Amino acid sequence: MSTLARRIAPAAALGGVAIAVVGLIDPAFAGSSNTTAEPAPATVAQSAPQATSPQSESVAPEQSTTQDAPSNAGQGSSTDAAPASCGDNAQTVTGQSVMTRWGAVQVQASVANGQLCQAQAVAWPANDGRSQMINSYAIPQLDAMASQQGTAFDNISGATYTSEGYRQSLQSILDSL
Amino acid sequence: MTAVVQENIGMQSTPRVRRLPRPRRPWLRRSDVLSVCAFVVAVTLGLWWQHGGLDALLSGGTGTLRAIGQLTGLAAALAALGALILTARPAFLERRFGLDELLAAHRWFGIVTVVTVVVHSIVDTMAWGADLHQGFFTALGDLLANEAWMVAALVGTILFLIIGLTSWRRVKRTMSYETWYFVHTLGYLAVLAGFGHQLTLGADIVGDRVALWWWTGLAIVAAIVIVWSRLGVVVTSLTRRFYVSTVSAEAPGIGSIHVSGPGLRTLRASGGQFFMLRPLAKGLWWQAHPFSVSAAPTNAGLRFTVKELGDDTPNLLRLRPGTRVLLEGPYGVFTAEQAAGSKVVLVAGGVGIAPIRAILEDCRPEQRPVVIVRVHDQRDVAHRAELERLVEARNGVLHVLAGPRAWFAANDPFAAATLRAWIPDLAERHAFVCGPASLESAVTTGLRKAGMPTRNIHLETFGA
Repeated sequence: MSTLARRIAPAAALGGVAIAVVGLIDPAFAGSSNTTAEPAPATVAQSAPQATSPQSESVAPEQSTTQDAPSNAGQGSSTDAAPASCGDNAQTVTGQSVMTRWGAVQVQASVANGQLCQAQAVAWPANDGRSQMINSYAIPQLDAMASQQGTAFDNISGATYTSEGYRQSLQSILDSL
Repeated sequence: MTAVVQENIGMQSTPRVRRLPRPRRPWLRRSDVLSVCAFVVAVTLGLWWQHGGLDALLSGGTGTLRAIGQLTGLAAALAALGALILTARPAFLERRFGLDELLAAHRWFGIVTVVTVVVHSIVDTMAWGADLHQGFFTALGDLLANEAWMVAALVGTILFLIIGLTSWRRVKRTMSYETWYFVHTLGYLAVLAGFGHQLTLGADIVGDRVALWWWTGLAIVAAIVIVWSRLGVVVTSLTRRFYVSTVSAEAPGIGSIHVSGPGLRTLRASGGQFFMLRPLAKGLWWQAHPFSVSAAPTNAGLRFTVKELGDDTPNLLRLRPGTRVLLEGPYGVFTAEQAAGSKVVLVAGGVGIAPIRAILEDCRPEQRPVVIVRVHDQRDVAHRAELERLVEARNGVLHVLAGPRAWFAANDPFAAATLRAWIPDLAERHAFVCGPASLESAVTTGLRKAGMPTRNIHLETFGA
């Protein structure tokens, strides 16, 4: 009997440690607010404030976007008037909010004479540090590319879901014209 | 009146001995199994390709890295499920391939799992960090801290590594079978731990309903097969009651355990198959031993011929009559049916005589069995009288090769030329070989060189 116990012990110890480590540390169980297991609901710019996720110390997420920082941390967003380049008669159209793997993407476009002249994301995934970091460089690029090429832009490496969402939201604007 | 009673008693005390029914024929062919495997791989690769996997692979840079990570991850998931199904030894596979072949395949599936899991975890972590120009450890920290099920995945990877390491023959030899076995069962935990991140992060699964159903379906089918076969084995071995009837000595260090009981009524078995035998006796119940049936199984009982080898075999030969034993099986496809009526060569080394003796009994005179027994000493031939009687009745020949290992190493009795000289019609025969691995490989090589097709050579590497 003691022989048996001695032979089970290594496996039992190993299995116990494994289960304990997963149960205590894994974000799936630890109840961490920045887990992506359950993406935030698809509310857009006016989304209710969510639990603040720890910011990455190096890059503030909205630094490189042009405008004022949004009030909600769970969803990146930006509000902006139509730029001067579109002319005075440009009108602003807001596209559908598209839910992606990591969060919602919504695009606002300035349209002059039935032509897209400027595109700008007003909401993008920022539920977790990784999304914030990626979108801090992806969103400005997407804005620039979409303003010039419409939906024909290439996906940004590392931001495939956001790129796809951006394209869909922009397409919804073009469809409505 | 008295006469009638006596006759009845006489009939009851010596019931007519008849063979147990043979196991049912396998309904799966080898090609069926290969087709299913090919289908599973094709659908998995198709989904991957449909999600742009191939373009990413050829794109260079991060895309390639990510694609390699995905491919190795998918391979690991499939290999792990395959390994679990194989080791559950479901009857539909076991009847066709035999337990030893299933476990050999399990070993390869396991090796593929461990290697692909390690490559996948390294490459995909690098890919995760590449977009942000993070180093490997920064990316790893990000994954573990922020992504659900990634700590579990890492724990699973470490478990896989430990299981792989302890199954490396050199390490395995240093530990007792049970210590290894219990550590090995952590494989179930490792697979479970790795499953979560496939659903939350698996690029092929997230956002594709078809892929999600495909993977969930695979997991459910695997779970059903595993639970059904493992539970079935436990229930059957507990409900079929067997007891030790006698234990007898056969040769130095070799003895026979005779088993009978009401369980025989529902048992199907062939000579040459083996059972996992677990005696319900103090200090012995927690170990099961693979023992070959050494005589045609009848309604009078089963006979196992065993050698004092492992930690506990001497005790097994001292089992008291009446001790209950749990039998799991029968396993193996090492039976006379494999020869399909052709002439046969039977080669046994040491206690490998057990299944060979049973197969010989099942041979017909037209099969003209040539029996070669390799032992260290003439006295080591177990069941010698039975062998001689059976060989004579079946129109065969018995060669006993006795001598120390060193002598045989210098004068290979299984060289192709020797075998051809002994058995001129070798090429049209089937061979059954059971003994130590060294003997089996020497005989296989010799037979192949002498012109016997590989598919005609049948090995039993597990029992005996």
